[in-house]
Amino acid sequence: MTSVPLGGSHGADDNGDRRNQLTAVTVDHLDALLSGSQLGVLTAASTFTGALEGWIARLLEERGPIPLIAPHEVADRLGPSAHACAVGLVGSLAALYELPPRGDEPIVAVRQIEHLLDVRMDAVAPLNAAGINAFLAVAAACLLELPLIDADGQGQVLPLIDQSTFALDGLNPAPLVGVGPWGDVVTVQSPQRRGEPVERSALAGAGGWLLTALYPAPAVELAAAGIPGSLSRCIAAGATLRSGRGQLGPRLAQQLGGRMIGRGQVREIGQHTEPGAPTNQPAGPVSIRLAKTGSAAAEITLEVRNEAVLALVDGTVAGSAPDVICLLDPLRGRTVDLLDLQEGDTVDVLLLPAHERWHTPAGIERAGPAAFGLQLPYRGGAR
Amino acid sequence: MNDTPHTAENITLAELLRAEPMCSVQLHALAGLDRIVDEVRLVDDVEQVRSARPGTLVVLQHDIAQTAWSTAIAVRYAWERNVRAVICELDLAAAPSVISLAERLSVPLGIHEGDLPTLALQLSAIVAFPEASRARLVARCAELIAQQDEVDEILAVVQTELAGVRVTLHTPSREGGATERSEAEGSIRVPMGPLDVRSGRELLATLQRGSVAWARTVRAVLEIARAQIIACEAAAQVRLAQRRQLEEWTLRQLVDSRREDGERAPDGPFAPPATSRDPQPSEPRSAADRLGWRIGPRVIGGSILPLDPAVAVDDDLDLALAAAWPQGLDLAGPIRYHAGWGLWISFEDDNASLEQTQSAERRALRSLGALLQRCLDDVHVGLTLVAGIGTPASGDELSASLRHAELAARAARSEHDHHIVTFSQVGARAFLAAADGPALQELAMDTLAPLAAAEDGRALARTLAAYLDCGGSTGRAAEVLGVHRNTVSGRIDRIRRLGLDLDDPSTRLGIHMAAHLLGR
Repeated sequence: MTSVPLGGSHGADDNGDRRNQLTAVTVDHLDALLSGSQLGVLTAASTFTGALEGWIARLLEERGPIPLIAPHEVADRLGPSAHACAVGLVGSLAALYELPPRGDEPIVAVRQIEHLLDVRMDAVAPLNAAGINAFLAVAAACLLELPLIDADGQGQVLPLIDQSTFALDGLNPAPLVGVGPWGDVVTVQSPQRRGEPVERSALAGAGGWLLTALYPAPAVELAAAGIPGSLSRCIAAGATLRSGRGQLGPRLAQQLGGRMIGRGQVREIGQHTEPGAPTNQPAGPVSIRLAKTGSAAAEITLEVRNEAVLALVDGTVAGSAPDVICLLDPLRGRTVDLLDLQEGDTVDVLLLPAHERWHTPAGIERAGPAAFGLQLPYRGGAR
Repeated sequence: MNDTPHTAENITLAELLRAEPMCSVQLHALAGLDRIVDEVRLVDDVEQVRSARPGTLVVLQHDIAQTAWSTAIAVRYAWERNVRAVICELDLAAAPSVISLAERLSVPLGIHEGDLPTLALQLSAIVAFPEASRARLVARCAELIAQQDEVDEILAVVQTELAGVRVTLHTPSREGGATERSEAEGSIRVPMGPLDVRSGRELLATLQRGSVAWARTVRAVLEIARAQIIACEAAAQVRLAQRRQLEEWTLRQLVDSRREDGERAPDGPFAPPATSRDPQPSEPRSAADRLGWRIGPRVIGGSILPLDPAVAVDDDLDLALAAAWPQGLDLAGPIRYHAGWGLWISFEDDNASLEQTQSAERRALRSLGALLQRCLDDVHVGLTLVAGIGTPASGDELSASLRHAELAARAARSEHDHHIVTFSQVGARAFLAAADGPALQELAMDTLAPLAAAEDGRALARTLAAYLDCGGSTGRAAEVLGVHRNTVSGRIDRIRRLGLDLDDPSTRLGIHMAAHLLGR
């Protein structure tokens, strides 16, 4: 996956075609960051971030710009013995809006991890540069006054914290520290790499969300295990989304190396019970049926398990997890929020291939169709 | 891709879908029904559909049978791999999108709410041994057909069990061209054969599609149905004949037993009714009640006879008349009676006054006449019939009214224009009618032998009859015949010259009667 830089700062580039790489996040990038964070996010999306956006804007104004370090530069910029960890929200976005953060949770979490491991963190990385975690990472970096590593562990929104390239590379999410809305600090140490189920079980008692510092590791290792360029790509995609020009889907496809699956009108949005669905997934299964435009009576079916994980065109698999299926609203020029989607709406379906780490057998096992209860092999999408 | 050749050991998709285990499966997007099904596979992973051989019928099970996305993928693979059909277990909410996909791709889709592995096993057994399945079907049809005792029910069973087959029982037209055309469309004909009550009928089955083996199965079932149809119709004939016999016996007991009593008063038909001092008369009465006969309070009898006195009414003719007689008339009969059939109508009589009684009788006579006329017009049994109407009588005097009706009918034989005669019109001819027969005809010929030789013997006989009717008055006879008085006297002279003595009282009555008999 190549990273597509956005103009605004100088930077080295290997290829004459590429533009300058993004090297810092400023308050000017916030809108693009917000829009780009919702690409490929369906159920965790919301166009209303409320106070969070203002809070992050103030942080960036006061403490920005935040340096953005490309993974291959970590050794040079931070030194070989630097430490880093990932940060992210674990739990329910709805709970976050009900019980908003006080604003010091990232500091509390990271300080606690530093205390546990008796190290100082030199950088943070987003757990995933998608959804709310994209800008929560920026907020954490502001609060901690630390640089951000331009890499993330998922490349999309995945429900479980061990669905990450960090874990694929052998890193342990624990010890991890989560801080909840009532100030509870949940520390999980788990030599057997069971941080996900243990923290998940603490969520309900802690108030529904835990802002977590996890995957503490040498910065070089964390950077190498992440998906490079995630944050800058997120901002670049957001810029395209906000550009207000037409052909949103095809332009994003070209920019991010994906392809269009098709366009259709929503015929039905249905919830159903599904036998064999894993019970550790937060939301129930949803199917969206689209009448494909331009083809005689063809249908696009999207299977949603929190996010869209399968796209069928007349029974042929056109895209599936671990690749990212994005829904775009071509008429309103923005990403689609499942809560707002209605019958009759026109939707563009875009497929963004996941990082190649997800296409390994271990990656497919962790984040492929079977991880979402769909007994299907991963085939990289047809045609 | 070559299809396996159609032999008895192969089964087409159409035939498999008609098999018993498929009764509870909802079928959609039927296509490719003439193609052979080689095997049945039970799969729990859509990838197994992808690796299925062409000619397979796939049954999904477990989770993939219940979700729309997995069934859609299976249907798609089935289309790519030339799989004959896919059977799943979708619920109502999930089914429509998959059905629509199956229809677009022309992949037959079955939705089954029961045990899919068991269904797969049953279908697999049928595919492995199709002849056994056909034999089971024939046996089941035989069992069901044997329980039916009406032709309509037998045909209904055949149509229900042999899905896609239309069956009729009919008499084919004699054109050879029609036969050739029908066979090209896929039909099977089973002639009813010599045991059928009506000749020339056949069972015709039209097949919408099917293999040679299916046609054989259909023919086997039709042959079983044929036997049961013949039995049913024969039984119906026997029942009808038995009923006719009962009716005939009952009527005979009712009316003729009165004669045997000898209790009749000598002064005519209006004698007081016989007392029921012995139990025998009540037996025919209760039989009459069981047959639903209404007798009285007043009745008028009717009679039907063949026009030709030489024709004897046998059982076949009686059944033919019974079959051809219009239904729903307010009329008892026709019932075998003497040389023909008897019938009667019943009517009320207030007995308020003589005029009212007479007008009621006239009304009844008119209605009986109208009914008889209509029946003679509409009934066709292959020979001409005549009818007579008797005299109004009380219910107990039915026999007298029937006798009068019979005499009237016999008199009607000599009426060229009217096939129905009322007794009151008959007059003296009643005696002739009563006595009529071949012997009497010969006697008449002998008596008027001299006239028979003449060219206009018949006209002479008619003239003689009228002349003697009018008591020897040529003038009145001429009026009756519609000729000139001199014609009458001239003819009478010729008759006398031919040697007939009209003045001898001992022979005159005979000559008079002979003249009537021969003057027809």
